[in-house]
Amino acid sequence: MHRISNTPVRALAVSAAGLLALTGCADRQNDDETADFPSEDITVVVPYDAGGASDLAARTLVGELEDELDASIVVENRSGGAGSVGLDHLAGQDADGYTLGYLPVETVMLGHQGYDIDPSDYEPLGQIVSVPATIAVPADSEYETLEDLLAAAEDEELSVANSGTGSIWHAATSALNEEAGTQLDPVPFDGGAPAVTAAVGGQVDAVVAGVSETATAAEDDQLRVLAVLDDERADAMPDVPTAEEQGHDVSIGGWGAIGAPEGLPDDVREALVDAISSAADSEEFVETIESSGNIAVNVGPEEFQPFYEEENARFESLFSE
Amino acid sequence: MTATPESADGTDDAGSRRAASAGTPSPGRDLLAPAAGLLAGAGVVALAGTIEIPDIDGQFSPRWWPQVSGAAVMLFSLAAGARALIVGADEAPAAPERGGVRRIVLALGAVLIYGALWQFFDFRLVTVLLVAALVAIGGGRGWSGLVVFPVITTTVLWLLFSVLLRVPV
Amino acid sequence: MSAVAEGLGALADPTVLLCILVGALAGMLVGAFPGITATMSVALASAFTLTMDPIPGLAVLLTIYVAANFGDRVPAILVNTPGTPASISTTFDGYPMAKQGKAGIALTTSAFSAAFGTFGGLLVLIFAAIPLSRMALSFGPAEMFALVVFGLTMVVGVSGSNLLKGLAAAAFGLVLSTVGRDPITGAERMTFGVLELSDGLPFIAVIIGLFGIADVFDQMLTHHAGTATAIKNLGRWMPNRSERRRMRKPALIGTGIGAVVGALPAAGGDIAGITSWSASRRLSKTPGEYGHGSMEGLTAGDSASNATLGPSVSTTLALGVPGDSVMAVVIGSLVIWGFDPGPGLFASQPDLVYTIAGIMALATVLTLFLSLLRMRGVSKLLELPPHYLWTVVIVFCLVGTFAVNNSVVDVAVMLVAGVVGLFMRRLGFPAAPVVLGLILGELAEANLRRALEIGGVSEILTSPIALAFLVVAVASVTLPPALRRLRRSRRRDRRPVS
Repeated sequence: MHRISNTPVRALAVSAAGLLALTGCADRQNDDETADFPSEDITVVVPYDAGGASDLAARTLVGELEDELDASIVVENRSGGAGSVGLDHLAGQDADGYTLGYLPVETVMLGHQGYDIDPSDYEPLGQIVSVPATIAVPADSEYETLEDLLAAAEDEELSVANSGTGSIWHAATSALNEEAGTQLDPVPFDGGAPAVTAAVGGQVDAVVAGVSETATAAEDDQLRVLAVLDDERADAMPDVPTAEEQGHDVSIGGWGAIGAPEGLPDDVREALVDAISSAADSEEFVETIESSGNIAVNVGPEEFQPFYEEENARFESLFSE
Repeated sequence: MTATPESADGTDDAGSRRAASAGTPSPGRDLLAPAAGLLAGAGVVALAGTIEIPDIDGQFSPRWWPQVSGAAVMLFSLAAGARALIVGADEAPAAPERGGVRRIVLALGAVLIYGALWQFFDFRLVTVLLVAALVAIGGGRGWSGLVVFPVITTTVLWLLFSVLLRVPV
Repeated sequence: MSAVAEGLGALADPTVLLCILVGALAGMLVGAFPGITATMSVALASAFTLTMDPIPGLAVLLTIYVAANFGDRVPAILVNTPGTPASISTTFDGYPMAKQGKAGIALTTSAFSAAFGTFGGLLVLIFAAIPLSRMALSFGPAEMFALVVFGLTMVVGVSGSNLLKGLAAAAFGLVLSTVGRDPITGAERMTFGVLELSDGLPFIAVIIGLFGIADVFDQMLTHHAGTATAIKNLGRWMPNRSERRRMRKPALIGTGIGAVVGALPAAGGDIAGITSWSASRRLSKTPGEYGHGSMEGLTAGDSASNATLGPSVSTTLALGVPGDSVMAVVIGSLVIWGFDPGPGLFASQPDLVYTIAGIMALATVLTLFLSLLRMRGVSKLLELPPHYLWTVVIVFCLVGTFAVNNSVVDVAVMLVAGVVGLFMRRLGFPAAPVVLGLILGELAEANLRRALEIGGVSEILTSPIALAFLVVAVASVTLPPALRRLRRSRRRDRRPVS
């Protein structure tokens, strides 16, 4: 409970740190004693509302990270503009390790959708979650397999719900169309839950959404998940084949990483990368993420950086069409 | 603001003083409102015309809804203007008091200065100053109004938002 | 009935009761401040409740949800500032009552109506969760569009004396609802390049500005120095027998409407409150009092917006998909605790449903008790001299609005809305239709275009539910004037028309 029963002294430090970060007049950059890192409270910016899946992942990790770094960490939600508001805010902060952020897949998508977001402004410190896309149809749908659905979509437009224009699930629908030459018509809803509900209610022919969003409805036989758009099957639905197994090489999905504004001092980065890696491996974090239906991963920056750049290139070509 | 324009005026106020000072209805004032509506509607329609149309085919252009709504604002304002001419003016709201406009402008100015200062100084310091300034603008004087009240208000705000809810103020 | 016993038995634990008390205090506190939403406090609390056992954890979350909805009404009545959209309808009659020196009875009436509505909604959760969730499932984009069109006809009710100005204000609200990225194509509309506006105008900032700030500005403009307008007289606290009798009908109307609206995904307390206020006004013997401090209006709105709580929980649990952002947090927590929300839950773990209903019922009773206790203190706010009151409202709205998104842009929007609101009321444009247009415009446009995307015009014309709503919408606008004319001409003729 120590996060809420704060002593006034610490809260004072929090507001002072926040104020310094706000004015950018902190003299931390000149501070050579980075070996002491962290000597102040750390802020993690989450570019979405409190209570969402990204927020949950970030807060769970922060709980572990506080122990690893022996520091107090504040989660700050700055939502809006499909995530661009928080990311823009993060890019403007000092690269001193005291302001970190949750980097969602949108970090590499928004720049190609007319938002002023550049992925190279951020330095990923480690990927922590992965959310493979799934495609599902209403339980009473005539389509039994991915092949059935795609065959039907060759001749006629089929409506496919997703969580919003320009979302990763919207892009996944386009990626399927591109691969299979089909006419799946993406219908954007206002969030993942309404999109899944529309499929359960049979208002659309199919829905593309994350594993965690379709898993519960599938368990209750309200939805039939036709394929997981990932290299491997998902633990939450081991009987559902991947798209690749069904002859369509499409792998796309959401992910989340912890990052910082570009240009961290080396020793600070090292300390953070180590701590994030240990936190992402902790039982508490893995359990919480897996029980929500997503996949907890622990991918270090060396391995993640090339993937980050590949994804950026992929969305650039996907959205330029 | 309440559901009905009438409740904005003095008629249902606790005292009868306000009702006595209520402005007199005049056709000029009553045409001002439709004119403002027309202007706002025209502005919206013009703005809507500048919305970039993306290269996606669909039944609807993204301009359609804003344009129709803007046109509706104009249409209803015109009708309201016609009604004012034919039927006569609405009840007028309470007349502004001397110094009323100055109070609002000063309060808005104080808030803007507060926003600027807040970037550089501690939340608690600038909030005490803002509260004191607003009390002074409203006509409050003396120790309790300009010192005690601002300190108490700021403490409550700070405890609630910064300490309890961890808002980065 | 052992599931009932088992489910309610889980509440006998002192830890659970303590959690309910903590949740009620926290919820009422945050609810009373404009800007701090139930979502925000529930999300913050969830970080701690996740480490607790499920039942105490749920007790904290659900009690905050219930209590925040109570607390919300206090600033709406006292200073015309709805803390969340759900208490917009509270300002219609609650604030006029306070201005007439009836703040005491307005607060009590509101609290009792809210409790009554909540209990009505809980009955739905216990007895009708599954059928109601089926009904909710049949609401696709076409049906939602038709429902929203019906909702827009409420403009007639909330326009006050000059209907044309009301309609113009509602159209202005529709315009405001288009700010942001277009819901279907993603094209930027009237954001002027401001990133923060690309998700649309911040809703809470707009209503706080249009109602609370505009009202303070208006008082600053018209207040005559030297005369005290502070309300010293709070009036009676308890409604008398005849008043209680008059509250019955609107309370029932409100609870009924709230129970149905609450079950629909994407429709909540705001729509229920306004719809019920409007419907009750139409069915009232004294419609003229509505908007001028009618206890009936206050009762209808508050019972409706609180009656949405139970059905909203039931739809959430029965469908496994959250109906609002508070429910998103609750669902997330339930999944992590190992429960499996969805239709299966009611079959496999009926006791959990009773436990949830029990928690909410206890929370309602406790919150009602606390609010009756506390109101005398809270209403002291009205006894403050005007310059203190103005300052308190402005400063709390400033900080509260910032806190919603940690965003300065939201605060700027609130101030602009305050100035626009002041001009509107000086020019005789009512504010309520603007808010109605803003809430419903977004839903109307997005759902219409979604429906057309899915199946063209026939998607709407082949849906019986959608058609029914559209017919009712047309009828509700055209029938009452036609009937009135008919009645008038009959009276003039003094001759029965066969």
